[in-house]
Amino acid sequence: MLEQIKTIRHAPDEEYYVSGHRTCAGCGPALVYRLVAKAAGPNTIFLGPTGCMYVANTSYGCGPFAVPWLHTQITNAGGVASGVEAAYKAMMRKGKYTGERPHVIVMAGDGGATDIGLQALSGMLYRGHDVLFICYDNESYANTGIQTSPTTPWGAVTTFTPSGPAIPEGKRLWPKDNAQLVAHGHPELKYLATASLAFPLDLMNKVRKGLNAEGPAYLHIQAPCPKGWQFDSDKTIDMAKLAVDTGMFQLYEYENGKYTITYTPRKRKPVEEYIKLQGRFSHLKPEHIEKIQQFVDAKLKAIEVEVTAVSEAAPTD
Amino acid sequence: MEYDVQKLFEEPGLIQITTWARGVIQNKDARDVVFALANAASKEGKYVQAWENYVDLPDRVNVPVRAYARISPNPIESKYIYENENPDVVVLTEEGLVKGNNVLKGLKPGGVLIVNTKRDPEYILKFLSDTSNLGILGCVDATGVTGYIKTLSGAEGATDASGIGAGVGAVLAGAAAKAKEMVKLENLLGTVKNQDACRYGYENVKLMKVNEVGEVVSIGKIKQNKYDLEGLPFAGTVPSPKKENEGMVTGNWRTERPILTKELCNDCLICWLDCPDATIFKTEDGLIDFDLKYCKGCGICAAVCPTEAVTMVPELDFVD
Ligand SMILES: Cc1ncc(C[n+]2csc(CCOP(=O)(O)OP(=O)(O)O)c2C)c(N)n1
Ligand code: SF4
Ligand code: SF4
Ligand code: SF4
Ligand SMILES: [Mg+2]
Repeated sequence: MLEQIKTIRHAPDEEYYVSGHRTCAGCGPALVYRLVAKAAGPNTIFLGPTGCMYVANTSYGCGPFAVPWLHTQITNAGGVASGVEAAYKAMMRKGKYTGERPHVIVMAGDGGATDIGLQALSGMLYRGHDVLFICYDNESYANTGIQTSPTTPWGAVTTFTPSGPAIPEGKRLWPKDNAQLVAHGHPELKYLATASLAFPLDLMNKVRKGLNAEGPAYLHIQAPCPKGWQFDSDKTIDMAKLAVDTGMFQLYEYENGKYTITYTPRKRKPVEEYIKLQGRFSHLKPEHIEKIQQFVDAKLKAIEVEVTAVSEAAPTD
Repeated sequence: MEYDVQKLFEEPGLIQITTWARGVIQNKDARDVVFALANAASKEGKYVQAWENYVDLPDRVNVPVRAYARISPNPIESKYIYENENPDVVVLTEEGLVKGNNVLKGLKPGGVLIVNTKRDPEYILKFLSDTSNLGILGCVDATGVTGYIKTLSGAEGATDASGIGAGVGAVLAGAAAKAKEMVKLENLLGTVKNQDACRYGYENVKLMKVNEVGEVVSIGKIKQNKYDLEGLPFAGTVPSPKKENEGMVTGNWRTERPILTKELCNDCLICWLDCPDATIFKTEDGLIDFDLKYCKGCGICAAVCPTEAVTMVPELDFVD
């Protein structure tokens, strides 16, 4: 069992995602990787479907992973992870492996988790494999030059959703809610949570809960991307914080059929404060921003109705 | 059999231009320098090409990237060669690129280097290792005149809907045209969006003569490469690093360096936990310090510090 980390001082010193990778300066997903690896510890196998966290980390025949790491197709991380987990179980059953069974963690982008790899993810959850599947959500197909994905927000510009005279708002579809999709269709799911870089300890503790759960777990982690969202590289944490403080991203856990909201902003900020700092939204008119505000308001209302547990105090880190 | 490369691939009158920039945030301006010069030259009936360095893509924020142009009075025979191996002109969209990048590699004797900087050529010269082929060093404060154009339009070979030379790239193209005779100013002005900026670069670049145009030296001989097939890793398996991945040292990505004011640091460790590159370490005196071998200068540590104990300082203020 991995213990919950109480304060920043209790966070392990050891790094398993070490210095030396070709991710952007200020890359949110890279920080997610580092925190997940730190929380999981040395007995871990990572699966990396194609995406920035494969390509930028493993360029030039080397990589920053101090634990075993395996590339998968963008489509099939859930399948490969199932195989790795099942292989260990089989080897242990036959006495061919006597060590402690390693944590198996998938680190998939939003493309690999919510779109092109969704089928393999769903199969893995359905069959009940003891795997922690993490979606680091940078809200685009980033590695190929920032194309729209199902989690790209309404109104964001990507290279496939430019703003022009015919479609001034850019992206026209509302985002897919993968955590909800995962939560309600997979009876074997043991733990689900959303997490944010604004609360790194909370993030690491959710990783540990997911790993402690005996069976499949899913984490959806919002990971600001300075290249795709077009903000300065020092603003990554600010962006994550504003996302939760405006309600654009909500933090919760789902366990035993029950939701717990893990962070509620004391005073919710207007979405405009988040939107105005990102180049991908710079073309939006006040009426567009109002539309996003209404979407967020409605979404939070729906969650508050559904949520049974009372909001807990804000994580302190 | 050995060939004299110089003779075999000689293309009289061919000019190679290489721009170095920071990925994502200056990529557009790097492209603009080479596109503006190539477009202007094509107006003069020259043969031209301009492109991004494929090896640098996908570009990442701050990673050094290159864009190239070739201009020739004759059809360009080397047009399928990926990189400019012997540039006549090298342009840097940001001064920090002189550190940790061999920007003068392969420079033709008497070649030109243009740097976007407020500083004097004498200071920039200190950071250049082998200047034996450098003919002219030019410094111009392009960012003082205009900004970088940040857009995904036109990236990685896509259509560019944003126009050429609206920002820093225009100034630098103007400066390059002044330092090296290759295109007429009026043709350059007919290409770029921000003509005032371009003219500023042409008129205000500080040029310093470094060497007289030297003898043309032979570039080298083609060698038969020997590959150690047995030594190649099996099926893409590579060893795991323990403490650092020395195959990807990123210290030369910095434009700014984090500096700690010890008296202000209360050892809260927030910066330590928030650094994506794990380049903040705990020190014996109970504080923190930075691993400059890998720090990319993202500035997150300075942004999250509750006591403002971290300041970002221009990398070129430091000679080390
Ligand atoms: C089957 C398949 N289709 C397309 C690609 C091209 N491709 C490589 S990386 C990538 C983007 C992946 O996006 P995401 O999963 O969100 O990860 P990110 O790059 O954003 O980190 C794409 C489309 C591929 N590798 N495989
Ligand atoms: S594009 Fe985004 S996710 Fe990819 S390396 Fe850059 S910041 Fe990270
Ligand atoms: S600037 Fe600070 S946060 Fe960014 S890589 Fe360097 S040490 Fe880490
Ligand atoms: S965040 Fe600031 S105060 Fe805290 S350890 Fe870092 S430098 Fe010191
Ligand atoms: Mg993505």
